[in-house]
Amino acid sequence: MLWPWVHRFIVTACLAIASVSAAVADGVEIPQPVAVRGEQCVEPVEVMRRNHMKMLMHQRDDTVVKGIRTPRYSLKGCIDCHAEKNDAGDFIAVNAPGQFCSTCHQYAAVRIDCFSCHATVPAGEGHGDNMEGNTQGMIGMDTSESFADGDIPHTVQNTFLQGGGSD
Amino acid sequence: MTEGLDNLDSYRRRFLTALGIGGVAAAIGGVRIVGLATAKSDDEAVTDEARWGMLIDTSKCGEGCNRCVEACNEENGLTGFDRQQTDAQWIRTLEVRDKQTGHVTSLPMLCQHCEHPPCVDVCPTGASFRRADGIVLVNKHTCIGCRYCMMACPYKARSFIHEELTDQKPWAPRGKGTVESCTFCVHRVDRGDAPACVEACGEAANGAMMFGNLNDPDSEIAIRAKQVSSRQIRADLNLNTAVRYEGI
Repeated sequence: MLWPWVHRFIVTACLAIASVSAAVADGVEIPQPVAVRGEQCVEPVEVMRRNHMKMLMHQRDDTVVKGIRTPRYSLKGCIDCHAEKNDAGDFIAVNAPGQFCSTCHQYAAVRIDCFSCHATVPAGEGHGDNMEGNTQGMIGMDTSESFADGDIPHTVQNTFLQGGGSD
Repeated sequence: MTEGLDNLDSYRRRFLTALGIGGVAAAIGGVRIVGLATAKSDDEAVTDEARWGMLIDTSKCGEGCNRCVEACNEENGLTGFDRQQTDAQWIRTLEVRDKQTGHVTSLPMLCQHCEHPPCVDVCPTGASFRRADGIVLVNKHTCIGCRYCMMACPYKARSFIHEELTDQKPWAPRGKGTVESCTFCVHRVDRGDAPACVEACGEAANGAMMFGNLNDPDSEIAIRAKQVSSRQIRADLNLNTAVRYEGI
């Protein structure tokens, strides 16, 4: 009878794979990207981690087709807060190795196509389209914002969290 | 996108502040196009209340003047590779010579933002589209780079990006494998400014280019278009272009 042997082999193989993946999980540090500006992101971190791509997708169509340019969920808004500066005071591209966008995407093995077209650093100071306005969506940047920490507006929940999997 | 209601206040506030600044700019001669009646705030979608258009007086267009082209390249970050055949060009100057008399007219040629754009008709993915306010754009998220629109355009207004780009402007994303053309500086129009070429032309004291809302009978451009004779280029195609020319 061959079955017991096959069974034993499968169990052993599974155990081996499990232990290997556990070792990998221990060995690769989960990236902890931080914002350079502001206290907190436009949504709680957990929401952003899971849903930022949906927000960006939704916003891009609104912006391109309808001309809605609210900074809150825009890619430009992300870059304005998350681009770091080097010692010389120049911005580093957000998709450069070790920078905000690339750390997580590298960890999650996701290749994004945003930056073949989009700028990777904020606009220079002085342009009418610069970052000054883009702090509007930031919680903690504008004292008139009334969101408490972790308090997601219902409209946003309805828009993005549907079909987003259970958190 | 629907925002939290409490956010609306902050947008409106910023919008009104911007209008205040805009009013001052207009008073000291800056090129602002949008009056209180048609200006929109960031969170509002564009509507067909406005149809943006341009009126170009070719008699004021200086021979050899290239200010509009330079301003466009600067504003939108159009850098070339010294390959004239394929470098992107959103606006170019043409010299048109009357064969009978030898009279030469200079004029800028750009996307004419047609009411019935052939580029939109032929686009297989819907990437080439006309915004509610009449601005014809390429949605580069859905453009597959087939270039049918380039063949369809009677004005040769579109360019294809052949090479990988870096250092794009944040307000003008552009990348390899997509088609692009004049956007009427849509990012500026949305905040109430005139396109960069119009502003530069005014600063160069030519003042050959006028931008505004063709749908508003009280707008400067509509009044002028009613007063003087102007033409569409290739009017025979019945595209109803938003760009009109005087003196040709």
